[in-house]
Amino acid sequence: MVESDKLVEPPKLARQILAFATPRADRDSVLGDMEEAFTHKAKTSPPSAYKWYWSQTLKSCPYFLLRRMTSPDMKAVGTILLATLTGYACMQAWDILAVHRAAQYVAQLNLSLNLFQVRAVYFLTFMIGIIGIGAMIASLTFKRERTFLINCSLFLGPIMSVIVAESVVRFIISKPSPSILYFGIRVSLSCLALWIGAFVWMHLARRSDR
Amino acid sequence: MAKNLGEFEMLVLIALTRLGDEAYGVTIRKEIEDHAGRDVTVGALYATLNRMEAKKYIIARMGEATAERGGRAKRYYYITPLGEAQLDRALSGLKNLVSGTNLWSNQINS
Repeated sequence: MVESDKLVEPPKLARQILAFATPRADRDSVLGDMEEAFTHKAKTSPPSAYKWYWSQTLKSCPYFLLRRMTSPDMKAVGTILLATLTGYACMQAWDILAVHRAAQYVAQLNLSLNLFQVRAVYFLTFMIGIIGIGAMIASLTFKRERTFLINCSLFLGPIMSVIVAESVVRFIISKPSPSILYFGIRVSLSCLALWIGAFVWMHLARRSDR
Repeated sequence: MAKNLGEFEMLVLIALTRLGDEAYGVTIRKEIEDHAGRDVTVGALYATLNRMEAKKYIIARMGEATAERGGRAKRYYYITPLGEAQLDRALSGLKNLVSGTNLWSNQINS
């Protein structure tokens, strides 16, 4: 009797794993269903109920984790990371090609477009990316119950990390280290672009509602 | 244009039809296991239920919490007219396909 009483509770670790893997929207119903089924099974054979709980947890986790990874929030975070890294890679590629004598076409393009300041290209890419991100944040804010500030901090985190990381790397490899002014300009431009994107999205959303 | 139902989606919709107002995770899983002989994991079931909810084949409603569920609420699922139409279409196609053969003859003609 004492033995069966001990096993009436579902395995704690399995329950925690399941709770972690399950998307928030389903967590209560999934854990409740599992507990109900476990209780029924435990009445006849507690050890098999225990095994059943573990097997269900291990078999179900891939489904839930996959769903979490393909949720709109995760897709948005992935898109933002990709856009940020693409912008950064473009800037680096342009830097390398522009200084390389072998890359004559880049030099010619530089001349023809008067792009002596290669940073301008990066800023342009970066600004376009951030405007898109602003629109995405606005869309997520209005579709979900989260404030604009929370969304901004969630989505600006990776971007700011890349800017800071780049500055640190430049400092380490003794490239011209960015000044506070340079860093400030980039952050300000990012915020400006973010608000432009959000404003455009809200404007378009209002028009489509009419 | 609505997409074709998958095999498991079909089983879940049939289970919802059979269960009526009593369709929630535990009963749906039990219904499929008892009548279709399929071992169903809770992950696969919820993935399918969420997918069909997004396609508007089913709707969900939160129910009551019970002690045996650790105080957690049940989520009941109901088939929508669109879901019924999809299920009917899938089953008709299956019936037409099977009808010219000796497969499953007793059950399909009854």
